[in-house]
Amino acid sequence: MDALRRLYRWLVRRVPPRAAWALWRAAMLAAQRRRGRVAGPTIALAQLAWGASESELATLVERLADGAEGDPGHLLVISDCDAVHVAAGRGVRLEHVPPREEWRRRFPAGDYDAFVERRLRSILASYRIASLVAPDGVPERVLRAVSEAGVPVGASQ
Amino acid sequence: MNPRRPARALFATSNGFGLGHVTRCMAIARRLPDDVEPIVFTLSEALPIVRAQGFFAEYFSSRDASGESSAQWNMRLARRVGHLLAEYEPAVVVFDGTYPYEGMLEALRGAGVKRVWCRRGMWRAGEGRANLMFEPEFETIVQPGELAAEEDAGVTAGDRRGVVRVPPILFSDDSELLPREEAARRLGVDPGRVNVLLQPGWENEAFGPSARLCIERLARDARVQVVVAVSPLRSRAVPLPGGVATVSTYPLASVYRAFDFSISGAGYNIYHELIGYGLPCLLIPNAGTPLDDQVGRARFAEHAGAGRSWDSNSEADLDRHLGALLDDASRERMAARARELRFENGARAAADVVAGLAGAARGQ
Repeated sequence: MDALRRLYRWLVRRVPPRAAWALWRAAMLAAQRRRGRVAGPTIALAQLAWGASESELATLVERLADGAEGDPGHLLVISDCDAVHVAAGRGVRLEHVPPREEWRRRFPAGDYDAFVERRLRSILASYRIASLVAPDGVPERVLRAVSEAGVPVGASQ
Repeated sequence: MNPRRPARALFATSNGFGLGHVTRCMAIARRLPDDVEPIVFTLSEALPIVRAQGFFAEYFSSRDASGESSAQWNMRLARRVGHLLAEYEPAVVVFDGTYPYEGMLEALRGAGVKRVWCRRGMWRAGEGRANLMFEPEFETIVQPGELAAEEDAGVTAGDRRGVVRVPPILFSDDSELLPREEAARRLGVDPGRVNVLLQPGWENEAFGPSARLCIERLARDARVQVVVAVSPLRSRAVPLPGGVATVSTYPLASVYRAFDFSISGAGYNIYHELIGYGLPCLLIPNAGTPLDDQVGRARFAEHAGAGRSWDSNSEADLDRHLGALLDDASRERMAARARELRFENGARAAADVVAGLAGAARGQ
């Protein structure tokens, strides 16, 4: 990325705007191809937290962060709770998924569990997750997406 | 795209330090016609605020919050934006920010959606030239109007090809502001006193000492009651002197009529709200922002007679400004000048641009 930044500054300073954009676009396409090979951040432990209130999410984040050895950035909470500042405040990563009721209001003909499954597959492909903890009641198809991604699933504590 | 359902517009906002980008997006989104459904995709902790306004919202943590390499973050962002495009099939994507993220652009290229860059002007002279290189990535660039345009010496000033200029964008229309008595009741302040709204610029570390100085000075006048606006973003909490009344409501402008004047930063939204709604003000511009020329904006307000600008750090200047704002006749003159500068809310014109693109996409 530093090389890209240097190229970017050079283009802006030295090359006419249209040509600069064309060259930058070519560099970006090359970077895009390389990005396909960029490994996602390492996550020691991911935790699904569905239906958590703000205080429940805060308690979970505290417990995870306090129990973590090393960087809390290696912890990931996947939740439908919108109190995203709670995780950011402790340096814990958070992936938000729109809650069921809100999603159904907007997409009444859609299948929320299928949406969550697709979202989860996308999230799992974005990180290198060592293990994931799921609470009781998580739909079977969601858990299947996790195991198909090769992530070991543990029961909620 | 399914022709039987409304077209969708995905509003993507950069993080920023406060609520400016997401507020502008919501201002446009809430004025879309019924046949265009907005979805807000934010990198800001303002997610609960967006949802409370009735929008369907998606969140993705900003890079500052995630502590990873730029390549990793952009890879994840590209994947997420690609996922949203596949799930929601928007006809239009509107990005509000000064620097479009590479991961987002990567996902949008070749996705068959119309791309709009909502980009406010008034950049600091000579700064941000590099950002303009992204213009060809967008079909349309909407530039929200700037009252202080004559002070604008930045790279987005003047006529630029492909830029659609709309009047200044505000979240609320004038008719949505509560009457003084009701606003005062909601805040728990006496409408018969001189009520002062202190709005710290959240990104301005220098505002804290200035604000404390203002509170000290105002405490000498028994007519005055000060209310400090506390950011609804909880991570932006700033220490306050004891015993100060606070307000944390969104949109804050809904209670502006409870106040006689405001002491504020000079960011785009607050500035245009204050002058647009005719609230006299003392502006304390943040000279340290990377792009936003708050000093130029505040200077214009003072030259136009609609407010005062304090950027000298001189306590004598502060006393002079506060003296003017505490004087009823002087304050009325400022309000009258602000009323002369009144503008149409550009959010509707911007919404028309977005709706037009969405309609065109449906027709394809």
